Amino acid sequence: MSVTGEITCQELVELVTSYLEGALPEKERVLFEQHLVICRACSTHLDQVRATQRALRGVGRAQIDPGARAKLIDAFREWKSQ
Amino acid sequence: MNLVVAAFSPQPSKSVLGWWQWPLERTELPHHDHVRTAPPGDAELVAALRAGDERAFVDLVEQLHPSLVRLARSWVDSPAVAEEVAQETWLGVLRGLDSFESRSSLKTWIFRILVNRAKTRGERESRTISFTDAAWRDDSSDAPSVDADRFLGPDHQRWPQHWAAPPQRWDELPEERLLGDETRALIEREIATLPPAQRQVIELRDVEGLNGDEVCRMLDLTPGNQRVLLHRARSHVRRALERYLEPA
Amino acid sequence: MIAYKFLCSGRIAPFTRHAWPEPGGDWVTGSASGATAICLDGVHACRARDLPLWLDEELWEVELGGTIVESDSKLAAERGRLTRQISAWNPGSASDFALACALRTRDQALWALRRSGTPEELGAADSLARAFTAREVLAACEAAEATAGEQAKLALGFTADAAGSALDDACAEGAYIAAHAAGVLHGAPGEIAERAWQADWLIERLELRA
Repeated sequence: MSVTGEITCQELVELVTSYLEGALPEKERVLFEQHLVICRACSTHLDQVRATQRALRGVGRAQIDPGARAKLIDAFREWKSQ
Repeated sequence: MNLVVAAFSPQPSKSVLGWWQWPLERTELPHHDHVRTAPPGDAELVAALRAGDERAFVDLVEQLHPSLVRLARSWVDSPAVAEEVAQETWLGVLRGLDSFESRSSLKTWIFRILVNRAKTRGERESRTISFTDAAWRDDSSDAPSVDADRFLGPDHQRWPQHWAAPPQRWDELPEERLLGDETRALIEREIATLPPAQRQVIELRDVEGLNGDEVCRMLDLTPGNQRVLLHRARSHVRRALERYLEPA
Repeated sequence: MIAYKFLCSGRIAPFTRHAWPEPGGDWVTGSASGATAICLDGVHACRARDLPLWLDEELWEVELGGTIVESDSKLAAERGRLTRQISAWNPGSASDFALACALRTRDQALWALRRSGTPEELGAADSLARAFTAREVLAACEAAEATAGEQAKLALGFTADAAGSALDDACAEGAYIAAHAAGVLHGAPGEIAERAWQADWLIERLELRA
């Protein structure tokens, strides 16, 4: 059982992206997860980051401008006819 | 053998273009880059386009064009020029369709064309610093992702550098607040103020869902660089969301 | 090899969020090759002595297969499957455990108060020693603080923190506070001993094979 090395909340928040990317080395990953077990505040912060990702996904759904759409249909028909 | 993740078996929607409606929760998990294969439906879509199926093309355009335009704006200032870059991208897609080898997904390929065109056009416009740059945060800033005043100081007797007060849970808010139109507009505004490199990474990774390796190649970044940019960009957006969801 | 695993309600893994099959179902597999890969992507599990570090809602006995890698605080294996739920681990026992940890921290504060030994501190220690619920512990800490010396104040602070966790039924947090306090007051051996005590409490209460 390791008593060396613990991460603080302030350190954890800077590691969140590396953690989600799977880029933390094994030792740091274990410390990160051990910290989440004992710290409700950091678990909430991680969930906020996940919620942010979810909200970002929603940004993609805008409507195309009808003029742009028409131009692209013309371009497609022209390409098709060649 | 990959981890069997039974609860997240993908369930593509009925539309042939459903592949970007996959359960994207995968990206919220650690080590999500395991999945590499092109999404199902990609091969059908490419075949349909090559066969001249206009409906398939229009569906694709409706899904992606606004994102292409928005992303182009991180290289070129003018909305009109960004529109041109996106239009040219579609021409490039049609012309390159026959030689597209499906080594990446169709979506990745389309964005790669967009990135190259936008970069070239941006250089050609030899973009000068405009007054709006003042609103952009310094790309190299060392600002922490969460304000230092949210934590106890290093000299706190029992809990140095722990949260002074826990952050609020957002899952107790109605889903609409996180995913509604107002929130979307807020996030778009926030993204528009990011330094270009951060903006590009967060758009391609979090908005469009492209994977890390692909984005590194497209933007010519090391994985470490990309992570730093993604971290800063996400932190800005999280803070903007927090201010909006939790008015003081 | 038999080991243990904590999961969230509904057999959900706390970090990957995936749902483990019921006992008698399929093996869960991770990456197939190499010790490093197994540590990163394999199935994680606890030995009995690791239990206090990974506390969560459900405790399961798990069978591990293939190459197994032991590290400081856990096991990693190529594959695993749940064999039975330890039903003795439930909100009631978790709550008892949280209180037990708070009372252990309280004992540290008694040690510090008595060691310092002013009449006020000794009096405060006697009151604190008679506290048996989290609320009583909290009240006694607040009363004792004003006349406590430096080290005792620190110990009382930790005790109040642990009692707060017990009131919230946050047993992982309470266990951590107890171990951390022991470490601060008695160094690394103190922290190790506290975690060992916690593991023993769980083994005995839950009738686990050590």
